[in-house]
Amino acid sequence: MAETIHDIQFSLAEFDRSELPESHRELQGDDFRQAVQEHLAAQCTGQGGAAEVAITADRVIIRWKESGAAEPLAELGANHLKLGEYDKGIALLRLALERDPHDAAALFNLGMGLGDRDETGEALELLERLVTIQPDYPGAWVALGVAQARVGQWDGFQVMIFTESDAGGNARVRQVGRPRVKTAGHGPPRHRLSPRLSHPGW
Amino acid sequence: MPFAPEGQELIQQVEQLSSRPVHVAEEPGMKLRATVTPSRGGAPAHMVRFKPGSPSVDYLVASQLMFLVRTFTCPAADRWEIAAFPAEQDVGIKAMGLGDSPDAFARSMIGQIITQVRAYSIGCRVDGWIRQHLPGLREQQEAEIRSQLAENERALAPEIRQKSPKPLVDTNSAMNAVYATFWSTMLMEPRLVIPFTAMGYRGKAGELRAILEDVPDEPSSDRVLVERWTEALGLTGAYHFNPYSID
Repeated sequence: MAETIHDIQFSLAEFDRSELPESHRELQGDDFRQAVQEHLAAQCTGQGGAAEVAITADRVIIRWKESGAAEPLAELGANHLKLGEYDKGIALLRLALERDPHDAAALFNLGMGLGDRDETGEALELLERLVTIQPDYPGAWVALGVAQARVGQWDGFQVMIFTESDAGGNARVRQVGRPRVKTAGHGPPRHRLSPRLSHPGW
Repeated sequence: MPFAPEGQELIQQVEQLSSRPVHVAEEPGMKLRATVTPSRGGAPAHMVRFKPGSPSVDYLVASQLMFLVRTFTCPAADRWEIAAFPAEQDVGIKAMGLGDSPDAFARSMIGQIITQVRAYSIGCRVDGWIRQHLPGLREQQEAEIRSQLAENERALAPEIRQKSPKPLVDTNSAMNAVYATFWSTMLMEPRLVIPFTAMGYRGKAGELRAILEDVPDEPSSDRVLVERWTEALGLTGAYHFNPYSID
């Protein structure tokens, strides 16, 4: 059977709270969203296809794949970011990290997405985790440098990178030094790195 | 392109039962996937029309023909069709929250929702029969059903639901929910009901499903089935049954 994917979306406000365990029915805000996400993810488990459930500020998104394995959540999330759909993208990337806190692509893209929305504190935290977990993840150091610059951390930290490709064509990033730079009179750079799918060339 | 043998046999069956020919034709631009117009008055034939380009034409035509078969296997005195006086449409307009809509639009929507009641309730009978008795069409049927299920799921999106009054949306969704429960059983895919359950349609879908199971699966009971569904959906008084006569 050909692989088909479709999204089911509905308003979070229309979710029937009576479907939740009694202790969760009065929850509000993020707690409610998390309860709905967990409930629906559990409902979708073991149904013969693959599903991902994401909850944005105002809607529920269930993505079904009728056959085969689900597309990695981080990839789905990055695609939404590329389309400028930040709420959807960030929700999916958070879900990816819930499932795998070491998902490098999710760390990278969520860090980038949050940075673009000026949620720099969490962005920095994620990108620092990324370079700790996978220091050769393509673009990780650049992203971290940009995030640092956004919060004005110019003097003590400058990431210098260069890339080199190995014989197999895979990108490899190496940190080579942290020279001090003068930044007086300059605002933080507004580099926009494209949301990244897995391991493209760099 | 010739139709599958199953469709040709159904055409013959309808023609024998009704003593009228069946014409099947594509209709470009049609919104529905397929429709049937029974012959009445001076009309020389039953017309089955379908949207061009569907890979499931044989199933679509067969399912429309089965509505005719169910009608014409009833004794002539027990055949019926649905109609509505303006005053009955007004009842429906009020019940479906369409009072603030333009009059022509509101009346059209009431007609459509009543048609949906008939199509879905009797349609479950038709589809169950096709699945059981026409295995050659099973692949097309399943493809078409999955397409319809996906369309129904897309209609749950907030931007679509907010275009219509809530009572109308809920009535439509309740029928889509029972359609999903019906097919989740047939296809053994419980996931199909998840979004409808999550949105609070478990109860109404269960009620409609119970009616479906309670009313005998005989063409002569189709009228009762429609009556009970419309009652459950708050559409009592929004239509009436007329005797159907081919002449």
